[in-house]
Amino acid sequence: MPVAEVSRQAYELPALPLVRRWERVLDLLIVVAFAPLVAAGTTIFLILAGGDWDFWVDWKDRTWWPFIASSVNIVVPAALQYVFWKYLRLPIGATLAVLAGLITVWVDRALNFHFWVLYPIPLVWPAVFGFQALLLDGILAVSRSLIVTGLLGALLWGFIFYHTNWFILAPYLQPADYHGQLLTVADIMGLEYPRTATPEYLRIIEKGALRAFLGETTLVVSFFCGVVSVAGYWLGHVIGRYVTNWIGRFMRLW
Amino acid sequence: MSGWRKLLPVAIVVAVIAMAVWPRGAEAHGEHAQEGFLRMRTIAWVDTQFAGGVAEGVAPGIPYAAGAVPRVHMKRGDTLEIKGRFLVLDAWPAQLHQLPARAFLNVAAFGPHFTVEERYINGVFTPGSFMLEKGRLYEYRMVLRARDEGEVHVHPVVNVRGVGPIVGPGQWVNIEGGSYSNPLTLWNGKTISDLETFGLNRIILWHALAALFMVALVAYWVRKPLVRRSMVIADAGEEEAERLLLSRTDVLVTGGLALAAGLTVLIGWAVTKAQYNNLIPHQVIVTEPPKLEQAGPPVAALATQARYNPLTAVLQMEVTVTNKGDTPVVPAQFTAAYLSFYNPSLRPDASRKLTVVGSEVIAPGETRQLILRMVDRAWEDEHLMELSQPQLRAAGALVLQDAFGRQTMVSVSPPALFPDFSLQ
Repeated sequence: MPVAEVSRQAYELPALPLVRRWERVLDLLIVVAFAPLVAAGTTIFLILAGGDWDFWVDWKDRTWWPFIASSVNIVVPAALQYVFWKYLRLPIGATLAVLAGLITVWVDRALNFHFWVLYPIPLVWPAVFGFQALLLDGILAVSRSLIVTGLLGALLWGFIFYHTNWFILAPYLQPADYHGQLLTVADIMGLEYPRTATPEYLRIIEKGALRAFLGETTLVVSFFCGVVSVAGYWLGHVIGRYVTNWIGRFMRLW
Repeated sequence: MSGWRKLLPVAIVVAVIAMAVWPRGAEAHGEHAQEGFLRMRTIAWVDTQFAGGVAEGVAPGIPYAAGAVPRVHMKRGDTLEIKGRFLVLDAWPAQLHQLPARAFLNVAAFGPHFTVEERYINGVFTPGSFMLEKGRLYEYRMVLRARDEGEVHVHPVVNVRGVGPIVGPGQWVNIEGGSYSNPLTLWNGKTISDLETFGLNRIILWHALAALFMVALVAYWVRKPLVRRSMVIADAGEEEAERLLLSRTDVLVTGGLALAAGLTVLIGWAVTKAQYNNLIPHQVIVTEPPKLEQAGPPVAALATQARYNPLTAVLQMEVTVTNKGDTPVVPAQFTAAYLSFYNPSLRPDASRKLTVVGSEVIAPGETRQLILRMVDRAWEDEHLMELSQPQLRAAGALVLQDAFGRQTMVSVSPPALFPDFSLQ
């Protein structure tokens, strides 16, 4: 019997109920063991590499925020996508990474930022990456190619980041006359809620020369973010490959 | 078992009980973290006053000096005003990031128990950063509103780029009861009822939608055995396994969910574009307050010597003052960091006294050497005169006042601080 037929029958064979149950228990144990690791990795990576831009609404500008957040936050989803595709042929790696990270980031914002330090959620809401993760996994499932995903998917990931979060961000960009100064709602919130260790001069927004092209800053930055996200994607792949090779050799799996 | 081993469990129990019962409560937020010689040589906080709330021992509506009252009581929603002056000393340490540098007027408190609604520097509304220059005098005013209950120690603070926070005098405030909201009127006349919850519905909705799509995708795939897939791949090879493990339905479902996610983003973007127009990007806030001229006559001061006795907490300073104006002046006040000592002939009620040995009046055109004495345990309690530090320096702002009440503030920094255990 050809190997493929053996494998197909093995995969589709209705196993004994006991075996099937324990197989699912094993699946669950593996998920429960690795989910916190994945969640921690996603969140810590974002906090360390792009923290302030994701923490505060007055840092969520149209140049640095999309650039930092999208290019940094693709690394762990890309690593997990590689691992899940290579070893399980599951096109859910990016979604799992973002979903796990979403849980921890909301636990952080709600418990630490809001209930402990008392910042209002509208000041500290995290960015949304879920839609991009789904697109990344969808492109992988349809193309069945990591290279196509790494180019097209990663480009889309960075390109649509700002527009994905526009639904939440737009109301905070309404102008207000603040004692004779024209500021956005986000700026005002950043000034009113004191952050003793984060003075205003630390805020990095609207810096850079990207607006020199066409005068349409958002589009130019979006494209630039896409390109940088491609690099971030492949960095994630390298990390995924390196980590799994190390684990495999450590456990003498290969 | 030998004797001491038998006693070990008892010792552990005693130690645990002692640790739980013996230590007293402690609280701190780093006011003394910076060395005294740095705090004294950077900014002198002069005449810091608070106003608002019910201050213990002070009539309502009367401002009070920072730290002068044990507690101020206020309700959520009440306003607290902090105002005063600060002089950036010419003695700014060479080892710190040099001026001019960007600075930001802020409050130091545990979390946002207050919102800072107004910031003024030299009479100009200055919400953002400004350039801080050596030797300049700044007049500041902040209006805060109590937001959350608790006991808060509030300080004005100037954050300086490359240096960090330079903290002014603090005041305990007890916030209890009342209610708080943070409305804002927009440029188009509409009002946001409360910034505390503004946009919360959209945040929750958008995150929930994204989570829903993600959970749907993950739930679809984890119905199937997971680990078995790796065995198939190992057995049949990647390409063959892909054909086995990824069915047309799987691709359609995954691709369909991705497409639905993309459409959701598009619809969300379009709806938002239609709802909100005339938006502006985040604003880079640049306000440069005007220079504040000194109100009093021009005066020059050069400190030649400072001596300190840690046992009696006596600081004695020799300062040569030249009155370049046309009216006589007297020393009114000396401020080191946030400690102020007042001339009792001008402020008899002051708790910290500035004593001038000999005649204190300096006539127009006269140059006089003054001997200033300041005696107070605060030098020790505030860790300002630490003789164990690698730099023994004292510095501050000397305020000279004429008969009309006009004041001139000068930076005073003797070249060295000598311990002198004979000072009484």
